[in-house]
Amino acid sequence: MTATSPRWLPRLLIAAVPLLILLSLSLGSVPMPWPEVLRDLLHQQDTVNTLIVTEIRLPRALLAATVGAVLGLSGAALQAVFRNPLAEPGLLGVSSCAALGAIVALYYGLSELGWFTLPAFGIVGALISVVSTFVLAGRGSSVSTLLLAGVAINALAGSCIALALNFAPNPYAMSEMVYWLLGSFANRTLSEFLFALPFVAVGMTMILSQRRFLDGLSLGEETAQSLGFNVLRARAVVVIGVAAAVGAAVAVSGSIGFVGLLVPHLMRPLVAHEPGRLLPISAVAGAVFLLLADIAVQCLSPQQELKIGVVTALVGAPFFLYLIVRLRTHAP
Amino acid sequence: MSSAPNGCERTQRPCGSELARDFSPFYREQARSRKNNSMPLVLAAFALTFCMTTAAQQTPFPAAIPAKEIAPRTPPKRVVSLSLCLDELVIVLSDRQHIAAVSRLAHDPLYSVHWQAAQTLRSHNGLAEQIVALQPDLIVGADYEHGKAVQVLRTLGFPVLTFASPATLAEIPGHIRAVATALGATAKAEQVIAKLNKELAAAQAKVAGKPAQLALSYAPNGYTAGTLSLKNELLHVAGFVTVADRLGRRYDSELALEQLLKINPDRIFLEERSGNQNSLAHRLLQHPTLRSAGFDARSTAFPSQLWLCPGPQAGAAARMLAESR
Amino acid sequence: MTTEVALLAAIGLHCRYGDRPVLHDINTTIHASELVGLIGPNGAGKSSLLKALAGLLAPSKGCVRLHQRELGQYKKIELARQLSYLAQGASVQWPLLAQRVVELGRLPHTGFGNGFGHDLSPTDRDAVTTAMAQADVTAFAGRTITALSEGERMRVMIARMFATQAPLMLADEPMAWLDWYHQHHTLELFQQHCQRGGSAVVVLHDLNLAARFCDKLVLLDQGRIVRSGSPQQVLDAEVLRTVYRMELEVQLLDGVVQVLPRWRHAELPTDC
Repeated sequence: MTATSPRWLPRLLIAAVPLLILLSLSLGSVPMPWPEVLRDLLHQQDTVNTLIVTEIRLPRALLAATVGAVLGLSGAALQAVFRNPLAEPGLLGVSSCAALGAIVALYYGLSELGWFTLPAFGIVGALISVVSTFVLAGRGSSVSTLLLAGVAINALAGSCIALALNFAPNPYAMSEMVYWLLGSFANRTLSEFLFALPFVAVGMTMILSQRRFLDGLSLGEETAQSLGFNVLRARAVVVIGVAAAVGAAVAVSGSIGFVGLLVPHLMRPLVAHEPGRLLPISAVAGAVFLLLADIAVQCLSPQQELKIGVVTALVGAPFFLYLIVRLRTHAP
Repeated sequence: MSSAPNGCERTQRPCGSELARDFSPFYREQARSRKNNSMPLVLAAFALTFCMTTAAQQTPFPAAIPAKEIAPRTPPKRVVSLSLCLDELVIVLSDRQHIAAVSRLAHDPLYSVHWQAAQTLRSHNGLAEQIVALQPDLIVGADYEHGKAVQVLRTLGFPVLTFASPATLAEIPGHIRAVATALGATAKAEQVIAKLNKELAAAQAKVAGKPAQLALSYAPNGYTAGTLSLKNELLHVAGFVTVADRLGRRYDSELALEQLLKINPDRIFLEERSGNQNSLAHRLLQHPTLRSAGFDARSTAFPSQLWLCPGPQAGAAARMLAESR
Repeated sequence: MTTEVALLAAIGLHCRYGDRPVLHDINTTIHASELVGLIGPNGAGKSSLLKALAGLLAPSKGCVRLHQRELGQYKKIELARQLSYLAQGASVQWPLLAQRVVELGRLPHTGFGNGFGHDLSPTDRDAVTTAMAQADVTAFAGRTITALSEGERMRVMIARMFATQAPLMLADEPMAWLDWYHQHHTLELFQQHCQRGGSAVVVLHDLNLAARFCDKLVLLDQGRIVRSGSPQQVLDAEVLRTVYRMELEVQLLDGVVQVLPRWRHAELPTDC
């Protein structure tokens, strides 16, 4: 394995994002006369077609790209911080706690307090889960301890979600549990995307600002500290960044699992396993992955909406099993 | 140890306490060795339960009374209605003092037409023991209700009448008459039916001659009524052609927002726009596309209770739909 | 070869892990151009003392001073440029390339920059190349660190420490897994570093290596300094018998102290 990955691959991934967004825009339940639509868009004419493209399809595509980037980046960051290849927001319960926060905000009327309430509650849920994971699994814990902490938090969050939805005043609440546990981008609005965007941007910036720290952390906490990092502060920045980005993303689209596990692992060989360089490329690859998954959802089941978490689980769960087997055979 | 109840001796079956003695010399040892042992108490409870269940299996179960669809000879004085649609009819047709209880939904402003009238009426939670305690002399319900409560009530000998739900507008008068016969309110029924027919005719007259418009009902989660539904028929009466007609959908189904916009209906009747709106299902109806310049004016919130149940309120529904043209 | 400039000083140092005390009243100074060896039996507190000197373990009483300023008063990155620390065991979490591991030693100098590449200036690259040449790991540059043997990996980690080019080097058991050739080679590197004006504190188990290469030895036992001074002063059979519970023969060969183990004292009381 040489140090330099094929130079064209990261560039291909970056270029793929806008192309896939355009592809996603062209898919939907109704056919679009594209020449006319493009002309209307350019001249800023409001027709039904432009309405469909800008208010229904565009938020969907933008969300898929953004949430994918968030999940890919958070997965890579959590793996670096916990120094554990199986860490990701879904497995550690960050996504389900964020979903719980969002559920409390939405179904109990708190989201009427302001535009920021829904993502903010998602972030609070995510923060609680990350802090709990640290308390339960500590630093430098084994793979199994960390996963057990994640199982515990996921179980607790799942039961609280069921409880919250059961007692919600709205009669449709319980049936929407599937959405919260599997995620979907259908019928999301542009304003929901824009409400989540500042939190996502802040969170991702916080994570990316600690790239060098995560590189140094691969030598161990003490060595990282001797290299000049304030380990506690830097780790807190990463963790809060993950909570902010994932919390806001899940509040808008539900909890989508396995992206943060799959994408960093696929990208590791490209960056020679360096945690710092892995972060940005995981974000891009995460966006590509989730855009592809959403396109698959739209192709496979245009009428009966297939939740996107099903697709990511179908791909991610077997991969997870493969990872476990490989870790067991390679572990000392 | 416990004393065996009489049932056990009579049936000649091995009694619980005897079995306990057979199987537990160990426990006997423990019981002897310890003073304050609760094991005898536990064994006594076990034995007693065992005996009682064996005794209960010996007594014959009362034969089920078959359901009868015959009207009682005198008008009932204490009517209990089991389902929302029957609640509406009972409230309209019966005198207040003859109604023992209605279902919970009758009190809900979102689903019930006569929710105000129902406020002073007692409501039940559908469980047989509550209904039995009310001592009704007639229980009415819809025939798709196969709940245990109905079976239990019939078994206990209460007169339970079930009515088939009308599938079309034409069947509604017959349904009202059938319920009225059971309640002894036939005269009132004719008044109600006359009013219904007048309202339907007025609605049709209002829209006669006007060109048909394209409309649909849009409920939370994007559900639209199918061609076989009452909602569809009411929209026809008001001079609309529905999206379900155009797409050939017979039953209620989801209509994607994109398709809705593309089809470009003249009117969109949004359901359940009052009450708790905090869910993703309800938020769909508040999507910016439906509130945008082109579609906001065409969308009307329609009170769901008017066309949820097939009954006299269909007249008011038709009138409202016709007025929206 | 020592001057009187006190570079790093531990003054009345007490340290504890939780409620377990590990260091008691440590007073020691390290001067410029001094190669100091920390020796002692297992659990004596050598690693703890090294961590305290590196600023990684906060003292419960007393302090550590670098250039007469307490460690806590330095900014972490300034400290990182003055001190470089090699942890015991020297593990790497991810299968990084050996070259990259050595480059991580330049982190205190490259800063925590915003590029997406490696942010290495020509100075950094020179330092890395030199360090790798010194540690004799240039041949491994392109290999992943998990594919190397333990000894090769240790040398890569030593190269990482040298790449930082800090005046003061603190190494915890850098001799682990090295063969004799490389043990000597590495200590010669430390010596050369000291001759150029730097200093080094090295935790060693091998008393002969310590005697041969170190200017000063500090003998620890149960968290206290038993003896401190030149190898001849510290490596005394009586003292070593008590501390190591071993019967040792101390000789002088070519002017260098040699220690030979004879047998262990099973009957000598311990108060562990």
